[in-house]
Amino acid sequence: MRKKRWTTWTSWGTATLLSGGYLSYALWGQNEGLFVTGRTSDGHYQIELACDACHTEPFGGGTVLQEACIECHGEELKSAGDSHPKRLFTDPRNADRVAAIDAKRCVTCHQEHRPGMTRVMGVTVTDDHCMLCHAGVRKERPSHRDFPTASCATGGCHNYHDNSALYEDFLVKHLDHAATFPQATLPLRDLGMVFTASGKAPRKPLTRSEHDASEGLSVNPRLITAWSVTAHARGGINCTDCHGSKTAGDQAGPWQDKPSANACRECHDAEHEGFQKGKHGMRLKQQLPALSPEAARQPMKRAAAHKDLTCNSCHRAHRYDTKWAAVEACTGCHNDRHTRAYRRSPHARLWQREIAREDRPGSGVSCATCHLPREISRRGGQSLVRIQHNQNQNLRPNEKMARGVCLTCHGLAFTLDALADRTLIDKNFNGQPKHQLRSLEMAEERNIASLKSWEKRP
Amino acid sequence: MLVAVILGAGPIPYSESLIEGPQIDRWWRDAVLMQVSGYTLLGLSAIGLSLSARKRWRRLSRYSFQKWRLAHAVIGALSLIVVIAHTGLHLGVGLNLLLMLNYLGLACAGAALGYLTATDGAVPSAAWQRWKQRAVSVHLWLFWFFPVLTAFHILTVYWY
Repeated sequence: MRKKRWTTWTSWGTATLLSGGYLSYALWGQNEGLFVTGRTSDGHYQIELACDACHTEPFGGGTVLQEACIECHGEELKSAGDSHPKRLFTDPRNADRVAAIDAKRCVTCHQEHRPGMTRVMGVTVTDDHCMLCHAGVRKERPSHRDFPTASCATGGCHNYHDNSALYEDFLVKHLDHAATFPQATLPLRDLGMVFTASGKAPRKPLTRSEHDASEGLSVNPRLITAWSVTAHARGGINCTDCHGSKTAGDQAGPWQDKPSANACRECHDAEHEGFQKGKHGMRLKQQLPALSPEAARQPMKRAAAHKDLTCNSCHRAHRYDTKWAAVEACTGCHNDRHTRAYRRSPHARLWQREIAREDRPGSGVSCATCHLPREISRRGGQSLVRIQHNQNQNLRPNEKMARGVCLTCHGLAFTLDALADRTLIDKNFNGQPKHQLRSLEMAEERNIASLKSWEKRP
Repeated sequence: MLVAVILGAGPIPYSESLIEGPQIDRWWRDAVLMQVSGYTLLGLSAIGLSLSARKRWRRLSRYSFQKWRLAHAVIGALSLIVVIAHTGLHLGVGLNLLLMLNYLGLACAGAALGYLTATDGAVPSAAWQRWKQRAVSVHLWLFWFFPVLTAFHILTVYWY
């Protein structure tokens, strides 16, 4: 009996030690997937197993999570002029609102690993959460009396963070604009100008015979030809600039057949940074293997399933054809309704005309036009145009696309109507918006009422 | 029956409004309430263990084994109700799912043992005794893993 008891206790102890040992081993980074408490949101699933991307310190609690959110998303919120910044809720006058919902913390509304309650954009509060602070809006704004409580974030009305294309003065300023502006043209890229403005010394353009690929290597002559017609050759960028890592004395290091993205980053640091912030490159930022289409939650083409998403996936090594990158690179992988409908769209027709040189440069609309928008900065009196490689920056809510992209060619009313029409988006804007939003009309009515009340003042 | 409900009913949906309706899902959404129900479960589990302590500690022999066993069963049933409040019938994934299944297995084995004990005749049959022994063994074997799983569940809640 005593022996049986001893055996039982020993067995229990052994089982506890073994299971505890395995769980400890898993916790210290070897299989943290065991501790994921629920399916990760669409925004973060790619880095689901890089737990320390968000949980940067153990036992860090809400503070650590908040810092992690701001690390990736803070700059974007700031540049959008966040409508609900943290400082609003640290103001003692809003203490009652904070008591209703702790809006100082991102995770109050964007709780991860809660698949049953996760909505679009990773929001985990209900659509009527605005009423917790804005319950009086129906009294204050008679125009809102009949609106359902869960309709605040309806397309074209209000966004929690980014209202840069929706605030009243902006709506009023853009009343009565035409749906489409004739002769609208996108700002043209000139990376050479950007490099010159940033102090990089211009280099002599190179010809085919001036390539510096080592003679000991068996280089495919077609690759040399491909390089020789690119902007790289025109800009004086030779083979060893990418294939040889630089030493401290700026001399070319050992030859690498497949240079990493670091070679691109040396000159294209802004594009590289944007790429790693977006859905295409966020895994690389966390030192995870590159994303491949088969792992994506969006519909993707089977033929592209096993491709690794790096700079060369879109830009194709040696050719670096940005026109190919602007459309074919995208349609080669993406297989959703919006992408499949692109070829039949009016945007695609404009793009075909531009690349066939039947219309002016900047008149065409490719995938990249909208999803990798051109950003203009000014330096030394010059306007410099770069491509934002974070395709997520203006994706959701889609009104974020209005100011940087749509308004170049379209009026605001038409833009908001189109962006709010899900069916039209699926048809890649092949057609007209079905409904007219009342946002601009309501802004105009309020503006008129406000002007009239000013006029009546003694 | 409660175990069948937990396993078969599916997760209780989250409420669709923050301003209307009962919002019972706060029990498995709100971190504070989840800690309340979680530590209540832990406490109930510890109290339930007193049945085992009674066998080893004379001071607890005051009441009959039958009364201790009844209390153990009531605590077990009560803890299943607290599990519903703690999880909203979301079984979880990974470690949480393992812990949940372990807990439900314990409850099932305990319920089976209770049924077998209650329906045992004045002259216990050999077959009934064998099934009772099996139920006891399953109940105890499953409990072997309960402390480790619970400890790591609590640890990872605060770790992450």
